[in-house]
Amino acid sequence: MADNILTASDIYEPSTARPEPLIHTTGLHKRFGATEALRGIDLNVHRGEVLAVMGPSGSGKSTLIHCLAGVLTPDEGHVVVDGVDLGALSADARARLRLERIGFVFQFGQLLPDLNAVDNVALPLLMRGMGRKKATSQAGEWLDRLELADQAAKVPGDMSGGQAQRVAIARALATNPSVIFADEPTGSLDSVAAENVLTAMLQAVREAGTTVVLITHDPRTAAYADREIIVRDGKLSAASIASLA
Amino acid sequence: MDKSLALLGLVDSGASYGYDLKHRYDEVFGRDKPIAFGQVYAVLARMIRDGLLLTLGEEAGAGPDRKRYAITEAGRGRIRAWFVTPDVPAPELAGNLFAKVVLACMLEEDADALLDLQRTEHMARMRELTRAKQSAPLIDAIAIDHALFQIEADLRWIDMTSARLSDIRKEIRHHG
Amino acid sequence: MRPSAARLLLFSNAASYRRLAGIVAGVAAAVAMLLILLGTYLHLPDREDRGAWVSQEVTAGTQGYDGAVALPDQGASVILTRVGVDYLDLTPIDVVRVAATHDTQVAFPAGLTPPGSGEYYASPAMAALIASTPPDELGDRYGTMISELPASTLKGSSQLAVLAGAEWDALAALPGTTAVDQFATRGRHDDSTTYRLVIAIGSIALLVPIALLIGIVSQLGAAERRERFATVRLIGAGRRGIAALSGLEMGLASLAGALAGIGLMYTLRPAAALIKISGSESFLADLTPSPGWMAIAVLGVALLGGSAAWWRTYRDDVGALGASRERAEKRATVARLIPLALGLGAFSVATLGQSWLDSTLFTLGLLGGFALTAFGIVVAGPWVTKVLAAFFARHARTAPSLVAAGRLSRHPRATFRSVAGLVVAVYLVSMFAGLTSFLSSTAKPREVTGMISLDALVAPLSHEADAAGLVSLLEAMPGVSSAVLVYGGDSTSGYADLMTAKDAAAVGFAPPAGAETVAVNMSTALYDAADYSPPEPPSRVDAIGAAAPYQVIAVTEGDDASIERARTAMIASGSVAGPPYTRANLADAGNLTTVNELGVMAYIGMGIAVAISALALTVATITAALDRKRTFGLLRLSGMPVRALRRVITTEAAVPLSVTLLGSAGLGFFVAWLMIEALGNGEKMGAPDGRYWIAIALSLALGAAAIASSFGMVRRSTEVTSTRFE
Repeated sequence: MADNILTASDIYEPSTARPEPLIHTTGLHKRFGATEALRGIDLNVHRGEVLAVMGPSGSGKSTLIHCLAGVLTPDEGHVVVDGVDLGALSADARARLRLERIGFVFQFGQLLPDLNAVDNVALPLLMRGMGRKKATSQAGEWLDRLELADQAAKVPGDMSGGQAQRVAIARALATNPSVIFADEPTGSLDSVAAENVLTAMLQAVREAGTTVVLITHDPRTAAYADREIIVRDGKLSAASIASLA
Repeated sequence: MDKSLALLGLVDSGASYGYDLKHRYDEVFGRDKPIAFGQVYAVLARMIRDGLLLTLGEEAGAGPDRKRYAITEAGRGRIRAWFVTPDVPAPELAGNLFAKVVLACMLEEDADALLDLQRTEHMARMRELTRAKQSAPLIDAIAIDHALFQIEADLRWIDMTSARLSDIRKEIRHHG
Repeated sequence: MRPSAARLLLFSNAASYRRLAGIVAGVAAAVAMLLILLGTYLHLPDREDRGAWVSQEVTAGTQGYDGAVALPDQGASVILTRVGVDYLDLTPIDVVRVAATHDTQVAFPAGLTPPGSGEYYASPAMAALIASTPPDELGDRYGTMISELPASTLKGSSQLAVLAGAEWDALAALPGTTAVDQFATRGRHDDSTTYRLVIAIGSIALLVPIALLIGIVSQLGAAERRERFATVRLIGAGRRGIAALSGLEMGLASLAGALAGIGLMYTLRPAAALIKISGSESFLADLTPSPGWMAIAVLGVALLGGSAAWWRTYRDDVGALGASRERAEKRATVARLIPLALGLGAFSVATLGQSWLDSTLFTLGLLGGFALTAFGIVVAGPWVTKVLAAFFARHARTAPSLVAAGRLSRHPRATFRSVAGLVVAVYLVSMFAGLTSFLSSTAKPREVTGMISLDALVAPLSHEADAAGLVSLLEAMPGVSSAVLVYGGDSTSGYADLMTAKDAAAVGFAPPAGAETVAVNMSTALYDAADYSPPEPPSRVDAIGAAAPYQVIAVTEGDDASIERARTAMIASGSVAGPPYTRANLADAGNLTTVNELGVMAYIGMGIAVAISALALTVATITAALDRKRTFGLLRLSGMPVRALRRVITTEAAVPLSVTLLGSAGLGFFVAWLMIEALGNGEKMGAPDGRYWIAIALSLALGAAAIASSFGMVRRSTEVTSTRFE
């Protein structure tokens, strides 16, 4: 009770103690037919943090991510991303939001095999209406930042797995998203390549201040995050809930 | 591995006679290295002195192996505290964690929470090491990697054991 | 190879069944069409031979001309024949009038009894026509029907032919009568050679789209098949083993398809028989090859399919390791233009050097050049696509164009193959439109002052004609507004044709004011000039004088019944020397019919080719989208709207299609121009007629429909919920 009384310091020092979380969700429920994939999840993702989402397959973690990204609509509960309530948006508007504010990195298969690295990275910029020249030059800059300048003219088929994933990261970052969802970004890479990719990714997102939600089952990958949550049977583990306080 | 706490836990789980305790210990924890009677009795004596155990009734002329022991409130408290205190991830951890899990199952305590707690601790440690690695020279990084892999091995074990807890409990109930 | 392994490989899932079903269907359609074309090709000379009796070959006596007849005396060893073309409205009718003695020794076609005067035989189609038309419009022209002409005397089922008897002396007095001692039993085979050439070309034209379609269908799930082959290789099968397996699979599918094609052929025959050749629809038997030929076709197709698949699998073998990365196409080089260049070269040599080449070499050069050109377009297409894509990639402004440009640059063969059928079809249609354009420049008759009215019938009078009687007979008929005579003038008047001014005005001339008699130029008054230059106006003459009437003109009220009644009356009167013609009939020259028929065949053939090509485009587009399901799905997940994906698919087809269509149309017109310049008689290629533009519009519309039909599949397969994160 005593906590609710305003103290003098609250009046005279504006509260900057806790900025708004970037992603905020309460009471998330999602059913697929008879199966309950999410059974009540409350979660805050803070701006600028790297959050690891772990859990066995079938735990519901992919459903959770789908809901957070606005790909799926939950049956109950709200998802608020960067101040926008996803439930209030149409499917097209959510797609537009994903294009403008969210970046995605997948385990594989996201780069267009017919385009070189620069064009792959420039693609989302073009989709947002940027001119070709400007998009290409910005794409080139991002490739430089991820130390891929010598791969710029190559197609994904001619790159190593690690290089291709870094191109994917460059593409995700190119539109300056508020948050990046990375799904097992190093899943198909060996340890050294994985480490290179993760280091590069984290360096780039820290510079840009981008929030990252990193889905992985690999602890060593999750160790690159600031904190982790574990999803089990559609709920967050007790330890995860405790850590979110 | 903390033998005294293991014995304490075994007493709580129902092995009350001295002789039973030694054999129970060997059965569960001492496959490779059986515990000596002497060590058992020394540990038991110390715990009685510390108020964690007490003896029940005395048979005339009975040696320590025939004594009956019971756990005190304080003793129970010690065990609970032991359960909810995660260990520092270290190679010697294995025995301790193993003991905790098995006993928690026997005592019908929350083994899931125990493992979760340990997992969180492990992850925190991994984060620390990973952060340290970012700015470390390569030689140190290699040493850090070794530690990381060890911790990962533990985590794998924790995950697997987590998944098998209900089966473990069943088996313990069967074999007493 | 063990059967279990074979089964694992071949019949593993629904997709492979679909593929085989598609191949069987494609082969069935191809075989059905080819069998009909083959049958027609084989039977063309027979048709002509059967109908040869309608020709006029002089075998006895000398050809009669106006007034000077040198025919042999009436006897049993010869007959008189006169062949003419009668008309019902605009439909030509072959009429053969014969005069024979009672004891004639001349053998009549099909052993028929010679018809006496006033009797006739009619073909079944003609008999039906006579029965359904009032007698005073048709039947009365010939007399009484004896019976129908048997099929063995007809070139086709819808042929309109009459074999009528006449009096010897009456026939002998008419111009154009000849004497023969036998009926011709062999045609000249000029027509059949032309049609055979066209059929050969048509077969090639239809083969290309079907071969492309079958190729596209057999590529369904190619990536997955390759992986399965790799698995089987890992188990221990050899390279030849899987090639043999693949060959066997395709061979059996082709065999099944070919057998189904025979059944399909029988179903399609009645429809195909409706297409007119040499003026008539076909007998079903004339479209059907013999069982021997059918067996050869079936086995040939099975063998061809099997060996093509064998070769392809052998060549494409990736060994036991499979292919984990996407297989890049072999680079498309400029060398791809060589077949096209060779084809054009052969074609040019054949057409320009026609005078020195013998006919076999000429035909070979023509056909070979044509085939090579069509094939050359398919081969050259990918290179053109690649060059185009490079340009397109540099200038792409939007995301969909960039994606499309990428795929076009790296997969020009696959992207062009989907549109290749349409491109070849347009080449062929353009070539044909160019070839027939100069013929459409023949003028259609128009109602113009100074030319004979379109409602008038003109006929030459016979020597013993009762001109005045005919005029009064005609004028008394309902539907006839006037009947006039044209007099053959003497040389002093300068013109050959004289009429009273009143008569001249009645038939359409504009006589000078105040003239009583005029001289007219019947040639310019009856035949339209190609450039529609005005006819010679009538000029005043003093009098008709001693000129005798030689032509009668009946002006009707213009409705079909009146025209035919007047025509029938004129023929039945016996006073006309030949069938009465309207200006429309005169304009309908014989070779125009052939061209029209070829036109119909060509456009039907092209319609089929375009339909098949559109189907191929649909299958190829869907396949291309499904192959990139994951990538597209992930793009959509990242926020790319579906309409952007649709634009990608559309652009990938539209870009190669647009440029190559223009190129192939141009090529087609060039080839046609070459042929007209080299082989024509000074005619010039003109603008293509309406049917061409309809064909082009149809091709484009079907192409667009094909692409659009893939949209639903694209959206469903890339649905955000189907691309799960895990």
